[in-house]
Amino acid sequence: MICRADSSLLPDFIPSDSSCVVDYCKQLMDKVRKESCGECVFCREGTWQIYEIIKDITEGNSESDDYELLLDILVQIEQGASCEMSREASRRCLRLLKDEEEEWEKHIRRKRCANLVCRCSYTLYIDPQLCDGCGLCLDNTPAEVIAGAPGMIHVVNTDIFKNRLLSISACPKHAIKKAGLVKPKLPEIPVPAGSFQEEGNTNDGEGTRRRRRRGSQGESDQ
Amino acid sequence: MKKVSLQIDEYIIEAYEDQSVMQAALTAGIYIPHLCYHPDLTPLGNCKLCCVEIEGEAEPGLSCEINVKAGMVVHTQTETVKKRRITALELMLASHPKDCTSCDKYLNCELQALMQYMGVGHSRLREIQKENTRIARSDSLIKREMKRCIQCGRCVKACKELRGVNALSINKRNGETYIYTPGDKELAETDCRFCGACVEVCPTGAIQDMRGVFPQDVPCQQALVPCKNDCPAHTDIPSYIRLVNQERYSDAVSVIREKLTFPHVLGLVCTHACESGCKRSHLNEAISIRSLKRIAIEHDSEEAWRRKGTRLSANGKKVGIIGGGAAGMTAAYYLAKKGYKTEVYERMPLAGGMMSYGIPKYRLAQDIVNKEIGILLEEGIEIHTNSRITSLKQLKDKGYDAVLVAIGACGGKRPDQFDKVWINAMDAVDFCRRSCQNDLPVLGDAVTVYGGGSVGFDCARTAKMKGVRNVRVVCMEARDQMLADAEEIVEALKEGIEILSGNAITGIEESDGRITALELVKIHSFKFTPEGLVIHSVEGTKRYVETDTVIFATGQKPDLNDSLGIELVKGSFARVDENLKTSIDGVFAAGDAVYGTKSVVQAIASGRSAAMNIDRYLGGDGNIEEILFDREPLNPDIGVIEGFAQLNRIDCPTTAGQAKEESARCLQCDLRLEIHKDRNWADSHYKSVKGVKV
Repeated sequence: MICRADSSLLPDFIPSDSSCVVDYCKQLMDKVRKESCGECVFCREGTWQIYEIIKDITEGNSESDDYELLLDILVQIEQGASCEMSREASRRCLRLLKDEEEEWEKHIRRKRCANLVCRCSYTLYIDPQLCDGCGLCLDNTPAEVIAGAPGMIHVVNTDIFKNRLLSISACPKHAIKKAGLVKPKLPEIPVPAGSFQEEGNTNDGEGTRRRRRRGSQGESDQ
Repeated sequence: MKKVSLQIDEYIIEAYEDQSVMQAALTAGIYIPHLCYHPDLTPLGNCKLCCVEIEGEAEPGLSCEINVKAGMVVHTQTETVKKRRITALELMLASHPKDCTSCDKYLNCELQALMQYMGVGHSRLREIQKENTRIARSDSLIKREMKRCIQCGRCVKACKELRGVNALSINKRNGETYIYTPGDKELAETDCRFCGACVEVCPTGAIQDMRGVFPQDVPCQQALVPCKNDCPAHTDIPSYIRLVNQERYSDAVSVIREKLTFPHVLGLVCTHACESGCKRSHLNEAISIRSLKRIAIEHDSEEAWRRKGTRLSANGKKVGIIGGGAAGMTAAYYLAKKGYKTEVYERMPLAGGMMSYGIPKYRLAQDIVNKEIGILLEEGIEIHTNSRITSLKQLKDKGYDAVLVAIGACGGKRPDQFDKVWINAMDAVDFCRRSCQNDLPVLGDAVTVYGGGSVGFDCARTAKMKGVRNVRVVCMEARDQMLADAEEIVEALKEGIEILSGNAITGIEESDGRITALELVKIHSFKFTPEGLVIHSVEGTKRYVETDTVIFATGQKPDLNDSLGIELVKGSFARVDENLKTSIDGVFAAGDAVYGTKSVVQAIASGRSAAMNIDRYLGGDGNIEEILFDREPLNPDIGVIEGFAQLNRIDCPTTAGQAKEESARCLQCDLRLEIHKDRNWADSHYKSVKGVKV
């Protein structure tokens, strides 16, 4: 049995200000490992291993030699796998590793993602200007992640592990936002809705994002 | 087949042109690592460990898939291929448990051997937890630890290619592949034939035999065919079952006769240790091996075995044998075939020992015994019936070069407190003998048999058939621990025999030398200690039952005493060494006289052993093995039988059709022995290369 799946199944990488090569490669390899017929070791175990390593990178659990490790394994899959699907996927992945080496290194060494796509690169916070204290976000989130009560501005736990338990989609009013390197000024404990002074701080987070995005485009242009 | 020569590393070797580079290299003694490759299967190309570089080719290729060509130059140890192999092995190990020592395949595992060969440990890669390894379950025959599975695909291939069964498959659930059966059914609900090929080819501990299915204390090749291993004479049971299935009864008898001297008797009364060991008994019920043997004998009209076998010319040496039972006659037969003049002394009017004077006629007709003895006598054995030998001095002037004592165990043995004479009490062995001689005393209306073994039931059923109204069997064992054959017990119950299991006789009421009643007590348990029998009785269960006759079926011992001249143990058993030699040079002993009462087949095995030892003692090679049927190559492709796992045992097949049905249930354990063992890199085969160094 040779894998019925072929490389036409693979998603394409479309660069944009909301995409990330690392995240794309993760999704690519997730797709391949799940399509694998399970016979050849490079396709079955190799693509899974690549997926796990990239997943660790996107989640901030990278190890210092992950870049070299990925190259090592991908070369073997690309040359040794039995099917075209996993060979092609590895080829694409290898190309993106080499073309976007700096972005990969940033992910691995500094846990940064240019477009704040990868979970390693941002924390979530609740914009005190947008939060009206409706309490909907509390319903699908573990209690220790958000502090708050009806009518109060909610506050997200800044502990990195607790923070990861929150989903951006938990607030229908889009008050849950990503913060990169620079964190906006926020209330430390819940305060009544509408009472928090802006002090121009919320724009800091946005500002950081814009700056970083420009930076990343600049790099890829070179 | 044409041979070509090619270069592998620094050697020029020769290979057949249809061989793969892998086969050529391995044959020549050059090791190429491999995991999914198996000598009996077509290559899978999954594990990538066997990659090699071939001059003129851009990319490394898999040596299991590439055919040899004249002049080819192959490199098996370049940095490129080593790197690929190491990566492939590391990837396999990423999801493989690290606790090698807790695996039953430890030190016997191909994956472990490869780790050592390549120096790869559990390494730099991410550990991967596979979910679907929980899906496949163990069953009564096969233990699955699928977390140890590396999905090499050998088992799937073996089931499909070797067996034509296709009971295994690579499945997928939630994007994760795993090995189990189509539709994740339990094996018993698939077409599985339980041949064990998947277990045999599995390189890791993922698929193993369930513990307890095969004995651990004998070499693997023996253990894997439990029926043959458990038969005292090691009859080639799978072969003759297969021949019965093909309705080749005469060939089947030839196979049986290679090891057994009284096949018809055994077909009727054998204690069939083979059936207790039968692998199928762990699946549902054992094959009716004994009945299939009987069918083969009864349907054999050609006696093809007579055209084969060896008969050496007379060597001028003489062997005297005391006792014409199964052991004595068997030894006489094989010694006669080896060229000895053999003379048998039998104290009774008929030869056959317990076959003639122990086993009741309703189970074994005398003419069957006589006929089988007749066949043995054709080899020129001289038999003196009505000749009791009580001392070796009687044989002194006969000029025997060796003497065999095979007098059986024809004395009764009772618990100490009952070891005295009453008019209406007798030992089972005497009861059976007198019944066979039509010489039974008046039994009365109530007969009590003490002892729940086969002999006890022989006595009880005989008494019942003689018209005794109340027959009861008293035994200390609980109902499910009784030693008699299950079918004997069932028949006895049908005939109206009362069974008082879990009871002990603790006292006897007597008057005028007759037993009038027995004191019985129910017991929880009993054990034999150096101080004697200890019973744990149930309080308040003591009662008395009246009886007219008591039969003690509590054991038998040889009728031997010091007058014979050989050293005894435990009072009346012949002491022998591992070569069956007694304390007197040239005098051997075999059968029940050595080990106490057991079975006809055990006596035959002992008789064979005696013949071998006597032959060796008298300067022969001790080889009595015969090939009476030339084995044909086995067909590994057993295919599918609908509902195979559910086929029920036909207890007592009588027609050829039933025999065919019953024999088709056989799991054919011996097929597994035909699967080659893969040699690992440390094997001595790879220590020297059969080729010319460049």
